Amino acid sequence: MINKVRLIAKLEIKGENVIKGMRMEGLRKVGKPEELVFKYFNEGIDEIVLVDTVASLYGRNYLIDLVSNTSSKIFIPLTVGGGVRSVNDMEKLLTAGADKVCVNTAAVNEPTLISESSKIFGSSCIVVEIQAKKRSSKHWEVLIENGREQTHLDVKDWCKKVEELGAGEILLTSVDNDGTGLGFDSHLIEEVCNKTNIPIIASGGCAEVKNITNLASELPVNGVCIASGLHFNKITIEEVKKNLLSHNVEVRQL
Amino acid sequence: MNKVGIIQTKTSNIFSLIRYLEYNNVEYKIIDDAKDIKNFGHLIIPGVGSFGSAMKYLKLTNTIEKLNDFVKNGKYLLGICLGAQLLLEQSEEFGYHDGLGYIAGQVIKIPDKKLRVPHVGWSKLIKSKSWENSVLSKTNENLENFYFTHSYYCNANKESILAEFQYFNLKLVAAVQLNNVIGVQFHPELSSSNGRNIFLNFLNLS
Repeated sequence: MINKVRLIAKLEIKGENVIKGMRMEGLRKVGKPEELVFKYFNEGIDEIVLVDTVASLYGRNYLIDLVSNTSSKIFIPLTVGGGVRSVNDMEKLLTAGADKVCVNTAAVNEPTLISESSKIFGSSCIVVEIQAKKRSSKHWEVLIENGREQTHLDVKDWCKKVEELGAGEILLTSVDNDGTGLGFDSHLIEEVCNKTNIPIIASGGCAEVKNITNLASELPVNGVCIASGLHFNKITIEEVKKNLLSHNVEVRQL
Repeated sequence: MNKVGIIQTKTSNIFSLIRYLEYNNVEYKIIDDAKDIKNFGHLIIPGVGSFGSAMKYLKLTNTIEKLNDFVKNGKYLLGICLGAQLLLEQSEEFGYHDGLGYIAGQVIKIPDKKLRVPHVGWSKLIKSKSWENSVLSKTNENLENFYFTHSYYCNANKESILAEFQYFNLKLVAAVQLNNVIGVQFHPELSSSNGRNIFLNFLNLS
């Protein structure tokens, strides 16, 4: 037995709502974050990721209250990101009840944030999100500011770098597949898995049960993020877990 | 039920633990002054953070000598995750650091050749001989869902190992105990109903 694959609900938040777009654009309202967090927890999700999608654009953070309100009622790991710029921001989120914090833009702008924070809070608290935009068959570029800005960094190189700096996990989002329901970019995920030794969470494109089962049976991913698939009732957590088990992929069962 | 004291290490997110205790109606107090330690019969040293900075903080606040007295007096101490590692003699996390030394053994890095480290997620516990009569023995029969998140593990003496877990081809320590000192590498507060049982069993020790 290796490790149980973690099913993670990813809630992208704008203002007071959970939203979902396609390729990080054309946002649609999905519902209230508290309600969705409790719903997915009760349905058996293994972990929740909350990302404030506009925080880093405006340099503000709506999430603290939401984190305190939700974390006292769910007993699974809660990862929070969006607009996290400093050790101080991280401390605020962890104190409010987050189990892990997630950084993207700030980590690219100031990579020492990863090493500094992992020394204080421990690597296992620090998740680095990497938004990957395909540029050619073997090359993906790192985007920041929720997919709005280029960095000219190569995704594989950046993955290696964040691992060396002490990141505990990589949340790898395919910008090309995000919100499309086309399935995961398994090519991207495979390249990153080969390049790294820290846990990889795959995100972007999942819309069907078989997307998850195929990915988890073929590649050593530690977690998979589901957003649209759950938000728009295309799949249920129960059927995903059943399907994984029937293909001999271990998951947490309630 | 006994009120439990929670040791501050200032590097931990103790909120997860606190919300779980509150949800399960367990009375607790966060100990800000080490002199207060003697007023408790049960103490928890909580999770996350790095070994060296946690030990430094315990030293700075004179917590170590008070903990030594507490343990000598036969009172009950539960370490969670990093808190469990602190119970051992030494750790190699970011240089070598001495631990509290209540349980023989070293804290070492999970070898990361071909493995994914940190180990993050749910693992199944494997019982050791000393499992029976421990705080773990009255958990559910289902030992599947214990939540771990760590890069280092307790390489403790065989006699003090309560449970292990399988990580790829390695069997690593999940829980240790020596008399009144207990350490769990996993987070009971994120391990569904089994976590609750462990806290309740621990607080009923006397």
